[in-house]
Amino acid sequence: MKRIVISTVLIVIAFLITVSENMLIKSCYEKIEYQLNIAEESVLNGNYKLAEQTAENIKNNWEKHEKYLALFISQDNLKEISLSVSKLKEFSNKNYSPLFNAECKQIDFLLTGIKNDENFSFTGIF
Amino acid sequence: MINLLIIIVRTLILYITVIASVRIMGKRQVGDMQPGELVVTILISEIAAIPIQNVNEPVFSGIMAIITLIALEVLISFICMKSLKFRKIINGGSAIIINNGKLDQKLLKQLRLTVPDLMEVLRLQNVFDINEVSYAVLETNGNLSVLLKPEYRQITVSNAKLKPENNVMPSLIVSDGVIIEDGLKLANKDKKFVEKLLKKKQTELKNVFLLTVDQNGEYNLITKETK
Repeated sequence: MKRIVISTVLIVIAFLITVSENMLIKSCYEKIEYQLNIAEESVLNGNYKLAEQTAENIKNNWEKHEKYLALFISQDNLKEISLSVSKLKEFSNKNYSPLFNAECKQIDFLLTGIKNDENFSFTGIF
Repeated sequence: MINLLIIIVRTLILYITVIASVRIMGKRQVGDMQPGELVVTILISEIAAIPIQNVNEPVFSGIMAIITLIALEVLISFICMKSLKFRKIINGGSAIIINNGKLDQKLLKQLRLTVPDLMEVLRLQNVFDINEVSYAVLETNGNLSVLLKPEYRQITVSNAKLKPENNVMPSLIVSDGVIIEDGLKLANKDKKFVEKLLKKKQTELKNVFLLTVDQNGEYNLITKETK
C-alpha cells in the first residue's frame, strides 16, 4: 500500500510538472509573439528606436524564460532561439529591416515549433 | 570543464532517480523478477543513460519516463495481487513439465525448451536423473521448481520424527567496533548487555570485530586482529 501511495504521489507530481511546463511554454510564446509583432510593425513604420527597444525586451524576456524551459526542452532548440534573439538588436540598430524581419519570423517559427511539439496530439505521440 | 561538471551533476540526479525507482519497485534479485519487472528494470537503465550521455537532452525527459514506468509497474503489481486473471495475463502461468513422473513433451515444445535445457536446469537443482523427479514446474520467473519422488527426497527432521531444540537466529549487534541498534532490538538486548559482556571478556568496543547474540543469550565474539 505504501508503494501505491508513493506511486500516486509521483504521478501527481509528474502531472503537475506537465501542466506547469505547458503553462510556461504558452506564457513564453504569447509574450514573445506579442513583442515580435510590435517589433515587426515598428520596423515597417521605420521606427527603429522602438524596434531596438522591443528587441531588448524580447531578449530580456527570453533570458527570463530560457532557464526554466531548459528543464523540459532540448538545448539545441533553445540555442537556436537564443542566437536569433541576440541578432535582433544588432539588426535593428543597423536598420537592416529585411534581416530583422527574417529573424523575427525565425523566432516565431521556432517558438511555434516548440509549442506544437509540447502539445498533446496524435502526431506527437506517434 | 563546465561541461564535465554538468555531466557529473546530471549523472548524480539520474543515479538518485534510478536508485529511488528500484527501491520503490521493491527488493528482488534479477532471477526472481517477473517478466514485466525485468522489462521495466532494463528500460529504466536505458532511459537514464540517454540524458546522461546527451547533455542537450533535458534531464526531465528521462525522469518523467522513469516516474511513469515505476508508477505503472507498481500499479500493475497491485492489480496482479488483487486479480488472479490479470496476474495470469501479465505474468503468464506456471507450467507443469513433469507431472507425476511423466514428462509432458507437448508442453516442452510449446515452451521451446529442449531436453538438454531441461536436463541442465535439473542438474542446477542437484537432480542428475530425470527418473527421480515426481513433479517439475516451470515458474513464471523462469525458475524450475522440482519435487522429487518420495524415495529420493532428503530426510528431514519432520519425517524422521525428531524433536529438535528451538533454534533462534543470532543477531549481529557489533560490527567493526560499532553497535548495531537494529540487531540489539532483534535480540531483545540493550547497550548495557554489550558493556557487561565486554567487561567480562576484558575488551573494549573498538576492539570488537564481530559480536552476535541470540535471544537465549548465546553469543559469538570475535576481536580485531592486531597488526
